Amino acid sequence: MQVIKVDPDKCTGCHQCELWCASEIASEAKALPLSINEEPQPVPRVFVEGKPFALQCRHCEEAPCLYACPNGTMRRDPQTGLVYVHEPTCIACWMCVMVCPFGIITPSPQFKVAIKCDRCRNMGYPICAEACPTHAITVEERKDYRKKKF
Amino acid sequence: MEFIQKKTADPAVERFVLKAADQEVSLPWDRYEGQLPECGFCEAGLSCRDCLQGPCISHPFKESNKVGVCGKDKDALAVQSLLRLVLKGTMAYLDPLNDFVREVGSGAAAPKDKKKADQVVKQVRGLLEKGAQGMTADFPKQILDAWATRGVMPEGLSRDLIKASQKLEGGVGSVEETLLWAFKCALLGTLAYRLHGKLKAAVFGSPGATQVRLNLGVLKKDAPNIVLYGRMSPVLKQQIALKAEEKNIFVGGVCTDPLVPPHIFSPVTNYGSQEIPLMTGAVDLVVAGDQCVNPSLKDFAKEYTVKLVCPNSLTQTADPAALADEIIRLAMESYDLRKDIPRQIPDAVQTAVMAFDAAGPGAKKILDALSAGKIKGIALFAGSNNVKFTQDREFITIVERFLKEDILCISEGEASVGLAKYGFLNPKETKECGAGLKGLLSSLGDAVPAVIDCNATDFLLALAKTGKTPIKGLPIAAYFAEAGRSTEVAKALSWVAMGVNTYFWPCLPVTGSPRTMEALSDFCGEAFGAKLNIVTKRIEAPAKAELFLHAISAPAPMSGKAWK
Amino acid sequence: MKYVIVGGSAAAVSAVEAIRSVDKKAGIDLFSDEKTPLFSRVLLPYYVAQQLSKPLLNFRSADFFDEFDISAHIGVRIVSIDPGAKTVTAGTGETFPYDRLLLATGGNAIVPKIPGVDKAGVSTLKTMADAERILNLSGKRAAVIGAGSIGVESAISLLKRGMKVTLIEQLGQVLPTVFDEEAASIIQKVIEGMGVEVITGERATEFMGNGQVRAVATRGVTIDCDMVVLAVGVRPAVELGRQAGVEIGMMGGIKTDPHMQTTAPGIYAAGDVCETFDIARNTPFVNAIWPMAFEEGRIAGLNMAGHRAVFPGSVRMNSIGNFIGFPAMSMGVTHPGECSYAEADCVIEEIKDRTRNTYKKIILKNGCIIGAIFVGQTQKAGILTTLMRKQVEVTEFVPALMSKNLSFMDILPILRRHGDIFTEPEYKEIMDTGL
Repeated sequence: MQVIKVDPDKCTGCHQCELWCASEIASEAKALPLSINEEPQPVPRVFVEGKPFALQCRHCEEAPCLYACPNGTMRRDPQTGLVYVHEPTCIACWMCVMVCPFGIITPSPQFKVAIKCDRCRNMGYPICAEACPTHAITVEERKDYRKKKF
Repeated sequence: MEFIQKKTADPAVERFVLKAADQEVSLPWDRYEGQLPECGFCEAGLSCRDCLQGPCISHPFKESNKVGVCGKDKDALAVQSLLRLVLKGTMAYLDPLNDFVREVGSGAAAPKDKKKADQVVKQVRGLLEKGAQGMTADFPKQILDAWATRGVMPEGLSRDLIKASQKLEGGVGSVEETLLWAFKCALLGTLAYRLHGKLKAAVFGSPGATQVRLNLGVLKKDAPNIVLYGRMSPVLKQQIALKAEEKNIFVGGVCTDPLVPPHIFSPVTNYGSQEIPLMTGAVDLVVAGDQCVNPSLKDFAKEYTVKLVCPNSLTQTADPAALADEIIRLAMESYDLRKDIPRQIPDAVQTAVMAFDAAGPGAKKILDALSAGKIKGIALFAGSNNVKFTQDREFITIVERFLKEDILCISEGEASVGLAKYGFLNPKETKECGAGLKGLLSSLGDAVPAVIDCNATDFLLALAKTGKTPIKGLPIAAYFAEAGRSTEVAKALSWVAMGVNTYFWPCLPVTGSPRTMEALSDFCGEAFGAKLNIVTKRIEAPAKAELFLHAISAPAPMSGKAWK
Repeated sequence: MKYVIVGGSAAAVSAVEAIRSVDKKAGIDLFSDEKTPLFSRVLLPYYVAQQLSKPLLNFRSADFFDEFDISAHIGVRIVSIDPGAKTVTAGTGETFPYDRLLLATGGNAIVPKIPGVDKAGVSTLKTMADAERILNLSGKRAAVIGAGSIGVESAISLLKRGMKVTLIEQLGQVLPTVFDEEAASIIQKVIEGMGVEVITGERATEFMGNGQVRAVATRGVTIDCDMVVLAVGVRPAVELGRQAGVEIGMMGGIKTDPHMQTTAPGIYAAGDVCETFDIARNTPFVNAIWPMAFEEGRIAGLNMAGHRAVFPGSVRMNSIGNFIGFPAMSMGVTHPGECSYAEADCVIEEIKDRTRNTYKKIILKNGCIIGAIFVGQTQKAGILTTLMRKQVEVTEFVPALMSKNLSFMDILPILRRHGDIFTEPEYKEIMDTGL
């Protein structure tokens, strides 16, 4: 499975990944000047907070959000292994927000759904990696940290 | 985040672009692509580095990060991003005027009309110290009233430039207030620019429309080539030209005034491709001013063994004659040293007729043609190039469209040079023009090209003086199609203040603040009768032309009277 | 290997998925007494509020059983188990053999023994049948007995359908098992602002009416109504387990070990029916919530299929999301006193922060989180839930945890310190970057 890797030595905390994630993925207008003043305000799915480091959804192997979602809105794509929010059925109960160990799910009362990075599932290459001016964000194959599965 | 596939519309430049790629020479396009994406916050005007508590941004998509440390919100940040550019642009207009005045005052120039020159110098001093009072005769009352009402009548350096700069230092002013300060500052720059033109006329005379050869092919294969880059004192240029003539040295220019009568400094290329001439191997010496000159010329000079002289350096001699001697000497030295370096000069030369007299009898004929419906409107083209567009392509596309639609096209400065490369300023080149426009152009003179180069501000004033309609009532628009420099921002604001609807690309750094965008549109419309149009939607050049065509063809608004 | 699953909700489906992830061939028979399979009970209030149609209540698609090759017996109730013979018997009389059995029978809504409770128009809200019944009740005025999560959500659902609703709670605050008094008072104001009449400290004593309920009487007041929703609580449905002879724990749920096995070999339990070790309370407890049911089902399934997996212990957690338009979350214990069997030298601290629109509280035992309440500002709550489940010391991080600018980066030192506890590969992945 392809995952995102962030190099903290290269991250300058410039927030460009957040900016492009919101304006090109999350927004309706899909372009910066038009999305800036969109209502409701587009929500970035990557977080640059505290330290210079970009934090996206880890698409956990054992994803707590998958277990906590009461109506099958949180799903895993069988091909890519990516965990995504199937927004039409989201009832905004925020159970997933309550269990995410990384705090990367944003409850959005404006959009009435839980918002989470889907690693640009329908795009090909993640926009945060494309936008990063220092190439701190890259995509690589997930390492297998466990010797055995369970 | 995209980069432009086709770098330039100029085939001669394109050849060298490909060559540079081969030889791993870095051009502006490479540097641009290498740093994509450019910071989105700065692009939208939502950043500030005015104090040391930042750098601050207003993050459009995060609640915790909407306002700078001092409290500047997105509106303040955006309008101040605009003001910063205008301050720089105005200073860029004032600097050449200062140099020129100093030289005239020192006796280094030998004015053709000494009395007039002294008068203008006095006017300049008056402008800088006390503002526009001495110049109000030139401007229509309606415009002066609009400026006075809004408080933007220029009052001199301390009240227009320095006071405006203080808006960046703090304070609780509104968006509209800050914007008006930007206007005030810009107007000072424009008035200064006009006086520069007047002084030039007094010192060197004004012979009217002049034929100029231009583009890369003007470089000489078998003689030394000096190229003057950027703004520099016309007196120095005159001295260089005089001494170069004696020694059969060619003196061309890039981003510099091509005409210091009777001398002509053929534009070798324009702003976006300014490094290319050195790649021909034919340039022996570059006189590098400041404004518009790419610091990369240093590297190119090294790579292609070109001598560099900076007339504005701290320790440089102030005497233009002495400096010109030095320059000639170095040029000949360089030519000798470079005898074995091959010169690959492309076969690209164009002819252009430039410097039409804006205030001539043309204004009446033009206004008559307008009211008779022979031409549908007038478009002013200004600005240089921007690596974000295919060089010159925006100008070409829009001008071609306008010419077909009977729109009279006026250009000035770098825009003229750009269009001239493609024959738009060449009377002998047939450009497809609408019948009405064709008729008008032939009535204006024997050899009037499709696009007329003249001082656009003077042209506007001539129109206002000649006709009864104020400028804001005419179907006239300004197009900064490939704006690159801060002077262009200042000029755009000045023209809006004079009542000209202005279109500006790329988007000014105000797109992050709807309020500032509105101020540039509705508020300016109310105050001056014209808007500065920032088009955030990505459209191609033909659609950009459509904006003006659509605006002038819109039916008159309903009278508001009830149906009977 | 034959697997039999009794139950068809969160724990059962999760167990089935876990078994199939390991064993694709063996036969799985699933029995659910609900005629509508695969719907999420959590969403019944949304159905009653007419915000969701029936198909949208499902948490798995209709072809789930086919896809996973499950023999699903929908609407079939298992009535007895023979642990010796290793068979289960359905209400139809048929018997089915098993090698591994999962009891995921969930809970039964408590019907209080109040006079008149059998009148028409009085219903609990647990099963799909309950929801249909309530949906079809015509009425203008409803009374909801019990202001727990179900009670509050039922009250709002009926309000959204245009009824006048009175919510009656026996204890002194709404949501007594979820929030403390201060948080509850904020929530109460919100639901009162929405139009629900809330009466606390009153116990329903009688349902009055002639065959059809007309009013509810408490000690202090009488409330006119034409329908009543009973939401006084849920009891684990242990009848089958009891009959099978497995031990029932002190809290009324089936006792389970960390592998989700009951005291009977080969019989497992998961979900609302079982009792697990509550990390926050430090004692076995019934935490009848969806995420726990799902995780317990998964661990049970894995163990049933021969893979040793350990359930780390449950915690209670509740989230009121957008249903009342005001976010509120709570996890673990709500009061320091709820942590039972604390040793004498345990230090319990409560840290509170109240601002104009938010209320936050963290309860620490010896520096580890055992409870937290977030009202009004709830993003990143998952970070605290995780720290609570892992029971690591967080004392010096409390200011960050209470801050509205909490970010995952703030707890990196905790990850570094306890690499042996934060073993999930995703943590390793982050720490490997050099952070």
